[in-house]
Amino acid sequence: MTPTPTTAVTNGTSRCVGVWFALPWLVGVIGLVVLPVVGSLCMSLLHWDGLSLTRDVEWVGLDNYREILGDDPLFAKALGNSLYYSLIGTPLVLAASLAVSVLLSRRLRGIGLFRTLFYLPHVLGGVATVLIWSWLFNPRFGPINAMLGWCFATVDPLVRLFGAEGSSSWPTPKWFYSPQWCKPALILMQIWSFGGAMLIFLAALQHVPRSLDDAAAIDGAGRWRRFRHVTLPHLTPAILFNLVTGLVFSMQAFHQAYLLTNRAQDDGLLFYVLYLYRCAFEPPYRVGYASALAWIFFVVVFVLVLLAVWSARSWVFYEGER
Amino acid sequence: MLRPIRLLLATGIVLAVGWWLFADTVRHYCPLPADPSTIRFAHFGSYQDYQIWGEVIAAFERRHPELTVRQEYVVGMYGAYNTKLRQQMLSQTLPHVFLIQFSPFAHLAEGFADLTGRVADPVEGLDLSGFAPTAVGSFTHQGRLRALPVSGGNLLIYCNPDCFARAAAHRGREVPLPDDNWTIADFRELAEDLTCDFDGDGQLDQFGFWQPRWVYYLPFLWSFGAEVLDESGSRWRLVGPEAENALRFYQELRVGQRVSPRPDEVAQMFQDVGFLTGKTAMCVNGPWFQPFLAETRLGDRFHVAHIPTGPAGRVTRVTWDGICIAANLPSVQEDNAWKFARFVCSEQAQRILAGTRRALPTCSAALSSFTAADGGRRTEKFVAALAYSRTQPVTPFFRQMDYAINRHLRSLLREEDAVSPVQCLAQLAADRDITEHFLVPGAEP
Repeated sequence: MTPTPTTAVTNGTSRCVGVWFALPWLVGVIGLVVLPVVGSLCMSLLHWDGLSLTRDVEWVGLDNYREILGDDPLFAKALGNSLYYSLIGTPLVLAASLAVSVLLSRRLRGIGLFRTLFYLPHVLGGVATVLIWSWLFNPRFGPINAMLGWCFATVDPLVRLFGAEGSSSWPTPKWFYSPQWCKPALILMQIWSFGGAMLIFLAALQHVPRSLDDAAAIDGAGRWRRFRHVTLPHLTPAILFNLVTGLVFSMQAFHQAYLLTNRAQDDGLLFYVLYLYRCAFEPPYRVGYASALAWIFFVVVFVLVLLAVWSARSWVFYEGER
Repeated sequence: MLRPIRLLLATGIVLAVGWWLFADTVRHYCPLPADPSTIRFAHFGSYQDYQIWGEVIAAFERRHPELTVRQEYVVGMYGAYNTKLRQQMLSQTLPHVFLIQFSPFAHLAEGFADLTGRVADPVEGLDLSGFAPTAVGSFTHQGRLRALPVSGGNLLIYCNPDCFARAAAHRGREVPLPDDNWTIADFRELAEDLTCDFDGDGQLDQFGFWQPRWVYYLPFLWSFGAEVLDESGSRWRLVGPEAENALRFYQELRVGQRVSPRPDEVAQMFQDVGFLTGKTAMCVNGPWFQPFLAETRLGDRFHVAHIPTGPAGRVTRVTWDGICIAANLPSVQEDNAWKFARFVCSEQAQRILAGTRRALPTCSAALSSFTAADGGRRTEKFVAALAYSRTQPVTPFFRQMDYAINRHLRSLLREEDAVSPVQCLAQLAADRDITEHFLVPGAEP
């Protein structure tokens, strides 16, 4: 059917109105996303302190990238730290949040209170909790090491039975004051705030068809088999979502490392984003170099997410798919 | 009817957004005429500095009732202050007069007014002959005086007498405070005596000495005969056997002798807290530590000792703060700014600054106010130490050097696979931050 002139005018007007409505968003995207991204790409090709527009700006081409990949030991260290934190911490957070959400999905009295209590740490996240954890992990006066010391003393007679020297003299970890223990300590901190992932699992658990579970039970499947073969496949989309967001957020970890880093760690908590920040915003203000670091970081995170999404084909189950 | 209202609304929104986005830019390029009788003065430091400078400003305003000084105070660490100065410099919003530390001075000096001519003026000038020579030299950049030296301090060793008493009781013999002629060997022995495990649980409860960062370690480094830079500040000199000995001594403080605590043993403490709580018996610090300690439970009971004499004699580091005027001010404002800067260097203002014991005055006539504050018990040591105090050479690349040295000294103090002093020096001399900015002996130019 050929449109009448009136219809064409109406379409043109509504398109125009649509553009006007979308304009604030378009301005935002162009001004706050597209331009900074292009700007950062251009800056990564410069040697620049990021402050003066008129001096100390030098075109260096791909030199920043070459220097990062070939001549910067801190780049490998920072990337390694972030990958360690992300690849070990995220699965542990997922496992913990899944386990707790399964427990919290049961219909019990006062379950709402338990759900709130487990979710609270996620809401409380921030500088204050990091500082509280740093006290908890204090190697000499912290309650965690006090408890460990008490445990060692308790099992001491048992250990001596086996002819060993005894466990009361076992050294307790130095946590944030040791290159070996600083990242595990931070991962423990990360696990504590699993509330976000837990909430998503809880929501996903509400959508597992009860009929399938009942049918499996009638067929003689035990609790574990029902969880493994009925519940878990239904949770895989939520697991994928939590995995991807968990990986991205943990790769971007900054404030924990910024607050807890100290000289005893031997750069053990020098995470990638912290290193990037230091390059850009601390003397000698290498903004061009930091921009190149940011682009490499983008590629690394992109590859990680791609791998997660690509692997999802083999383990994520969507209802309605064969 | 609806159309004009819509148009009006849209125009209003566009204008409001435009104002919100560009008002500061317009104000920046078309500033309102500034009141020349108001002088903006910026400084850093603790609340005590704020009070001291308040007194100086009040005295100035009494002398010049036609002028007003607006105090712009940056709380806390010097790093934040220096960053702010740098940003203000680039945005052309520098205060008219401001305090500057010695270490970032060389990097920023180009943005400060040249005071050479003002000082030499026969009527409105300033006689610098009574000022500490190292202080005047500190702020001369490429032959031009870019700041007036205001106050400063040298590093000496603070002793906590409570720790000495506890160590004496623990060892069953006297552990005396150091005398004025002590040596590095005496220091080592005393630090060992002061390091104690009181309850016998295998963990040290008190340490002899708080291991300083490299800038506060400079007195020891120099006393061993080592240098970091040459006098021009362009050549790397931290090489050779003297530097090795200095670094070995530094390493042994923690790793060999164990007279300095590991970070985990003083977790969440910094030097000041470690000292005043008695965790460490001795530490290196400047006169600014005195008013801080006076407000703690230690009160007036601390002791100050000279730097021990090393193989190359006795040397300590002195550092000065200067007062600068922003470059390119309108002439009336620059004249007023100069009046304030000159007043800060006058004997009257110098006596106010010195009377708090926070810093040594640069003007020697005001030194008596510094020593009068505690009857000369400790303050005279700082004055006497000026005889063997020196400044570290000026370099615009101080921060890069600072980062590199801190990074490599850490590898010296690692509990496992610590590098040797020789390796540490070699790695430092090959560090990119050093080779890019300094001429390293043996390296290609």
